[in-house]
Amino acid sequence: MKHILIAKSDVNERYGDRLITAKKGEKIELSGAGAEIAMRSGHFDYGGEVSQAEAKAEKPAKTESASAKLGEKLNAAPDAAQPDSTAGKSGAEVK
Amino acid sequence: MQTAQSVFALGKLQTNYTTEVAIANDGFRQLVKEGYDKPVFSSPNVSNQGQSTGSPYATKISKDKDDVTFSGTERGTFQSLGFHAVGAFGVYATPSVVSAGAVWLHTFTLLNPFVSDILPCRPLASKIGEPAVSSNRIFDARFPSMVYSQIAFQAEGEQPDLQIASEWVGSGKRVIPAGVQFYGSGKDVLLDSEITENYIRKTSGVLTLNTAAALGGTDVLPGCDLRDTVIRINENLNLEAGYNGCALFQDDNPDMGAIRGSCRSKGQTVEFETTMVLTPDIVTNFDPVAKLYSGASISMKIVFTGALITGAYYHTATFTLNKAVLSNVELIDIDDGTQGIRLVTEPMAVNDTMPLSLAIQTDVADFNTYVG
Repeated sequence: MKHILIAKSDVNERYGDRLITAKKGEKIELSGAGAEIAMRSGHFDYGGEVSQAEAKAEKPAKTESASAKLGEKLNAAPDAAQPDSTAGKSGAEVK
Repeated sequence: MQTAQSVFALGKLQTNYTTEVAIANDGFRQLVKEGYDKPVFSSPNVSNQGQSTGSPYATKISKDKDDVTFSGTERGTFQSLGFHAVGAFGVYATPSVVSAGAVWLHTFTLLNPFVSDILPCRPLASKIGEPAVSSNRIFDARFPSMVYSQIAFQAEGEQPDLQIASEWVGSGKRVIPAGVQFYGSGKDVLLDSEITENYIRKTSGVLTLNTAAALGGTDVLPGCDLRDTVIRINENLNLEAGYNGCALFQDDNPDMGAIRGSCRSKGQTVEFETTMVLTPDIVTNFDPVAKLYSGASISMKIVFTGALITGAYYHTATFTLNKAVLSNVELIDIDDGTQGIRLVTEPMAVNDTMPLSLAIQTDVADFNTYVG
């Protein structure tokens, strides 16, 4: 279940490892725990739940586009595909 | 005799415990190396002794949990104070603009464990070795997901300015080589010379005595002369609780132990101690026998001031201690004969009243991304 929150002002707030950023008037969607944390900051108005129909309709579209993008990337540069994006630079570059 | 060198650098805040930050140019902050001890990495083994193997002796040993700790002390600047506070306090409010484009006010508070019990974390890059010999003698590693286990802000002894002493614990994961370039073109670590920061110059305090009848604070004494002040946050990490759901960190390598998938706090606690010069005002308004005794409740502001930023705005850092119970009060000699009063508080837990907050007025716009 996701919730819609509307920022009352510009928000750039951290609660633990959760960083919440939004411009004034921007609507953000957060899951239960995130929404609770954001609401406690007092910077958001509650905009209701994301309806199940919307969520379902969005999901396949997202998956398709993501997989399509990934496919494009893989086709374009098969060697450049890095399973671990956090690997950073190779050891050879370290001086 | 060989020359050994070590350099350490802390990276930007991770978005969460299991997602590392991408290594970027100038994305790491080099630490004052003299003040920090080398990271201690451990990868212990456990034997199956005592289990029903039919043998009274261990027939097999297995890897246990990998771990890493790191600690050190550095002279605090207003900017480094924010850099440390954003991770050690846990909650960082939207900064307010004091003077557009020049001065911002940042507020840090402790985590309410009922809302979130996960502290922000950063990667640590460490390079230790003998550069004069050969490159393969350099131990070069990166430890992602380092979390504070304790931090102390102290102005004591021969160090009248603020010292920041911190202890860290990692997930146990290490990446070798670090993949972080310390020097040269395209480096990932800011050099000391590139970091323009402002040191803390003087300390002052405001003492409020909370009367038992109404814990609001009726007697207020500004301008306390403080010596030997220590504010300590103990993160009370639950180090055994994080061995679940560590998808990113899971590894099939039999030479590596288990690593944490999260690091949670059981609830932060705050300790405070200070020595105040016993001025006539304190004797009159805070009679050490009638009011400042063990068990009495105090509130206090400890203000650190530095250089001018712009206009009438100075760098300031204000720690607000809220409703602390004194555990120990004694009259002592300070500065070879002046009367002073030493106050030590009981550890304070986070509850409806936030025991400690920090407000920093400085020239940094956002400490969520600041490294130097």
